[in-house]
Amino acid sequence: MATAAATIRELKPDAGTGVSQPLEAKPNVVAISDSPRYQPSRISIDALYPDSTGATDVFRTSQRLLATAANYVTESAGLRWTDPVASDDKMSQLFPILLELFCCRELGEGFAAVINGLIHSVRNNASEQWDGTQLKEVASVIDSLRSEPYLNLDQAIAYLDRMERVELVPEPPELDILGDWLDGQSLR
Amino acid sequence: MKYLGLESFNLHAAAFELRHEPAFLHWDRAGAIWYDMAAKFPALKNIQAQPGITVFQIGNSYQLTVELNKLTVRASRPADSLQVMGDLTNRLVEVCAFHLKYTDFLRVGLRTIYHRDYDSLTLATEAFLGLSLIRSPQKAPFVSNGKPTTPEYTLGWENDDVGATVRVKGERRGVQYDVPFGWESSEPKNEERFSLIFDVDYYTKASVALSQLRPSEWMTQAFRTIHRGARDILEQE
Repeated sequence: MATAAATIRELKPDAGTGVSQPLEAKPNVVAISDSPRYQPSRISIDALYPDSTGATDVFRTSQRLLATAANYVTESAGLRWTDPVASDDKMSQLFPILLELFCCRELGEGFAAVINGLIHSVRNNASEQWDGTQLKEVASVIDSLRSEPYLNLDQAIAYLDRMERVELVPEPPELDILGDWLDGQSLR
Repeated sequence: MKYLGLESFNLHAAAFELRHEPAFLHWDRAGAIWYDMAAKFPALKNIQAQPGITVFQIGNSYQLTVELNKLTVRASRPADSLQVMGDLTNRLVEVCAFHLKYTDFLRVGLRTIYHRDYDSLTLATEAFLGLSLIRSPQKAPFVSNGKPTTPEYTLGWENDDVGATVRVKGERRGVQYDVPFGWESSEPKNEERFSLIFDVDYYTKASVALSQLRPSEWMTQAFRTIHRGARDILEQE
């Protein structure tokens, strides 16, 4: 983003003449896309699809379940300090919602991959206390999925990477065993 | 108030349009786009191919156009559900997104044009005036004993996200052709039709990400939105 400061060229006095000269001669190039006026506002999913009664079952169901899932995560985050047991309970309630969301995978392979990643993240973290960063990331992924349900596989992988960065494991534990076996580690 | 009823109109044409930043890859990949499309829709027939535009058609029902900065799917007398048009559009958008690297759309629009036929333009005009969309002077100005003809009404509504423009008009349409000399099996034809036309363009104003859009889903909902809004326009006094 171009700032006002970036458009002001620094001046220094010339030693011989005392006249201020531009510090650098490089042109001040600002991309069109840097202008705040250029950025088109993105439509919300609710404004784009305003008629839920006319929606396909799979779209309507996925939107409803994602909203419910986001609520559970938000409530869990809210209870994390005051009532950790209730907070964990909310995350347990998230699990069946995610399983139901997996039935909406005809929305696309990206959608299916992210839901699959969330299912494994919740399952693999079942015996652990969720920390704030993890809850925030899960909530953010669910919100993004609700806004962009037709994401492609590359975008989905970026979401899975985000989950891994906060130490969630968005894949089945069996995959590690299989990986080890393929590496020949199981023979050692 | 009497509802004229969109059900009593025929869906004459529908058009879905996506506008985007210029996709210069169209110059390189137009052939690949239509190769992929023809693999799924073998009836596709090339109508026009120039550097900035390629047009294909399926029979006399669907016309698909890809241009540098927009994609259009037009249907002539489509089924009321627009399902076939939706499936066709899903595939075209998927193929173009792959080849032309679409990420965002500046505008997504659906235009539907309905016709209701009358025996004369006078009757179509009376039906139009009955909708009370415009105020007609009691006495014909400029022309003594004149009757209103060619009525037309256009109005749009917008918010930050979406917009709609509606056009209602009475229209005379004609077709005339002569049979070539020596052609025995047909008579020359001179046919006129008089219609009340209800034309709605529903579109997005804010940008839409590719990952937000499934054309068939959006078209279904836009189509229902148009049907619901039609009630407010087509109520007759």
